[in-house]
Amino acid sequence: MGETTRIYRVIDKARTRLRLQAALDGATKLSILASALAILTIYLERRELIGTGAAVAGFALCGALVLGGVVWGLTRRFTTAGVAQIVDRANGLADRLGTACDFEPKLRADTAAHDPETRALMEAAVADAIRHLPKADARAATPFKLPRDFEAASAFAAVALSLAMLYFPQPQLWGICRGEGPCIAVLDAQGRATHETPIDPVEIDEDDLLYSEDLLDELRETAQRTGDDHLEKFVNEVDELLDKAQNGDISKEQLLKELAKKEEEYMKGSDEDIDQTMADLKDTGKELKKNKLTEELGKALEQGDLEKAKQEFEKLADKMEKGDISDKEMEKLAKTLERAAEKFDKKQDKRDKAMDKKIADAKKQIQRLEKQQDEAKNEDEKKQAKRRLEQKERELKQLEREKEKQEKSASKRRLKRLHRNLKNASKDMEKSQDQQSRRTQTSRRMKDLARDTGEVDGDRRKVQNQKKVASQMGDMKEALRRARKKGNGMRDKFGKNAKNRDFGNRARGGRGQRDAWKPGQGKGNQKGGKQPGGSQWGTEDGGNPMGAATPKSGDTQDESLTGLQGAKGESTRQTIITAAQKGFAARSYKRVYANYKTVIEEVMRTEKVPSGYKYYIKRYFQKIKPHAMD
Amino acid sequence: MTEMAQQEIEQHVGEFCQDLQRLRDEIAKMIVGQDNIVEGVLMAVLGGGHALLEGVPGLGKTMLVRTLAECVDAQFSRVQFTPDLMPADILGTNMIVEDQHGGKQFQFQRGPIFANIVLADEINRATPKTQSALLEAMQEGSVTIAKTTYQLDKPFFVLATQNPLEMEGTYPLPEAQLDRFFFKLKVDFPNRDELHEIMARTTSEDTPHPAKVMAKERLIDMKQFVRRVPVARNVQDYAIRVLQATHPDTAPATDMTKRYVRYGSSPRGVQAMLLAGKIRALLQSRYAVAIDDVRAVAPPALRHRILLNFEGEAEGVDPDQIIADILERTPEAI
Repeated sequence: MGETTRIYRVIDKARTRLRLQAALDGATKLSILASALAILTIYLERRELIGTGAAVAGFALCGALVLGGVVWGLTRRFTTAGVAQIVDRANGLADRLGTACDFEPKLRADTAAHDPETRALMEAAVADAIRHLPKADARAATPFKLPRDFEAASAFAAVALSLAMLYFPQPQLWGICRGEGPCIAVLDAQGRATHETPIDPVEIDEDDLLYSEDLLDELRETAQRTGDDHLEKFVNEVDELLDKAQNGDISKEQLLKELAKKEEEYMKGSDEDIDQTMADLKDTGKELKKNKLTEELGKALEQGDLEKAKQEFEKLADKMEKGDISDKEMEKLAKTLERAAEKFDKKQDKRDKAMDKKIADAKKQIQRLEKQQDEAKNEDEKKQAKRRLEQKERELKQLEREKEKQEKSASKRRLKRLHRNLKNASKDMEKSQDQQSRRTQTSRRMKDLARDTGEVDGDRRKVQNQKKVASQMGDMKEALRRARKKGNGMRDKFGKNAKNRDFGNRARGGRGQRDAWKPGQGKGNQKGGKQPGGSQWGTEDGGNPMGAATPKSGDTQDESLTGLQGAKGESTRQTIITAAQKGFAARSYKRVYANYKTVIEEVMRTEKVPSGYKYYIKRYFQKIKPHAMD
Repeated sequence: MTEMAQQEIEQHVGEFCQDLQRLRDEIAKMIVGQDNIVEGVLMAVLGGGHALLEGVPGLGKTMLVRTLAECVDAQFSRVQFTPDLMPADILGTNMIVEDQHGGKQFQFQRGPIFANIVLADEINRATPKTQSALLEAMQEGSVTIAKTTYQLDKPFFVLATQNPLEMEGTYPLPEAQLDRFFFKLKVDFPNRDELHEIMARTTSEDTPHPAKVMAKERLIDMKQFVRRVPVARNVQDYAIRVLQATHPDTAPATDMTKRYVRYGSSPRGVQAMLLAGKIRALLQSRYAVAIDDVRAVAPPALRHRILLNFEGEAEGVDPDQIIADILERTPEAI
């Protein structure tokens, strides 16, 4: 029976070839689907409906489909009897191999017929098959054929390849382009520009551009005033993007996308609860105020003047260094510092415990609600219980997130470090060591405290700046969103830009143009007609735009302004019109502007003004802002 | 397998082929052409079954059977079926005979069925009662008369004939009875060359006579040997699927079957195909049945077992067409 392995070898060879053929057929069949998917991916990518990552994933899926077809074919099952039959048929062997494959295992396992003659015939059949084996050509029995779907697959693949060659993104280089307008030059191997793809340049309205620049100037000024390097860097980056957009180097979508990205980077940490930090420092200040040595320091902290507080710490450090503080004063100071630190710790503990209790309560309530849900008598009750449960779970998540935020808060950490240093300073002062060491040690602590205070101050300023940036960027993005593609938008039909330019010049203290619009006049060079309301300026004041003076309360500072009646000064209206004509640098105009701006801000805050209108109101006030120089 | 056993088996198969060939050659002395009919008849004999021949008169059907009987030294009888033929005319009857003492007693007189090879000519002319008497004996291999059973001598082979031209006044065999026949063979009219040969043999002085070439015991041995030939599982599976395809309500049924067939073949059809396939394999010096053997013997084994429906009959569909369609569409491997 050992010779029967030769039969199986032939069959195995045929089987392998059948599997390879099946793999080819499978790959061809699935390549049709893969090609269709590739065509779709290229189309979507070209239309920018999907990103590069999704396109790559799409192509990877195409490859996986073809590979899947191959794997399917290679793992396809071909029975020994079936393969043997194929070989028998192809070589005219009258089922000898198939019969031998059927009889041989039975003879080997001794499960063949009991009749000896039948057994003998079975063995003879196997021997007969082996004798005829030289005629069994596995290759002839399983020739490789072109898959049935070959033509269809070729057609689809050809279409996909053509599309890929036409539309597949090529390396793009900023090169010198022929023709007008900005474009992307595609350079060939020799570095010659072979293909130009015009980008969609955006036309930023000059008015909007000026507005954006004004916003950036404000931010730049804030950065310099507060020493916020990050803000300055941010402003420069935004400026660069605007320049690029103006030059047509990036499209509107890219501009907005980049702006959003830069803003997101800058705004990291903007959700810090700086008010809580300042409140804690205020309490600490109250405690420190009780000691004569730290009275000024305490006042500064109470008032939120961290710059001054830092200076006070440094002064204290100097005094300690020089030995200007007596032992008794040192002792008192130590106690003060300790009390302040302990008070903070107690408050912090209380807060943490309150938070933990809230979380624990929420968990208990959740358990109770779960039980209610299980015990619900009917569907309605169950639904209600489920709703309440979900709400409570959301609340719990919110609390846990808040707790996590507090634990990770940078400003909180700095605050804790500051109070820890207060405590350590107090301990240093109480330690019995030689005077020089004590002075040096405590001086160093004071300097640490000065540094900590400076850092907290930095955090506060950063959060304030971030709020300002959020507001300014909102306005800027709104302005840029309204920008149209070059050539697509309306031209400046009414000469608005020229008027705005003139207006802007005068607002900055420059000279306007002779023919520019003046109030009371119509368009162009026409003579002004008779205007309603007479030919003289009015002499009445416009009333108090702020209404009755608000009684002073809290920390607000109100400035009460009234118009001057009679001939002693200009009326409000006079002031405005004069400013419109001659410029916006006048001090009186500044006052009027401030009045109106305060009212408008209050209205926008309290009334439901549509956000589109708010934008225009802000824009308007930006334009008529008084000139900085007086 | 040892060399000895190998040689022995080869010898047995060789002897089988030789004996059968000798028989064929001897028959060929008397019968011109009709090789497939001769082969079919011999397959039916060796398969332990009976054959139904359909053909016009004068084609040598009686001659064939008679020659076969003479070649194997078997007893031959011929029964011409007529409408007035009675069962007793076939089986025999009890007759009153005088014994040596002058007394009278009943004695069973055996009928023509008590032979080794029986030719039942124009079986469709006799009444169903008479037909059933013969068919019952074919099935049982014995005859029971007046509560006494008489075994028929072995080998026992019946060759029945039907005349396709005479349909008036005939009693077509019912399907259940037709199923008892191993093969149904269609005798074609000889071609011109064959006719010349027939004339040469039958109208000249020298009329050949067949010689005994085989003992009937040898025939029995050969029948037993045939049954020992093994069949591979896939070949048997193919035969079964072909059978199933003759039934319109099965999955393997072809469209033609579903359209024209009322009832398909019984399992006797597979038995006939496999037994005949074994004989065919041995004749080609093979030791096991091949699918081609099954395909070759399927038409004679199945044609009389397929019952056409009204549409089939109305359109004049031949069962052979249905069998050809089945053989074409039935896959050889699943």
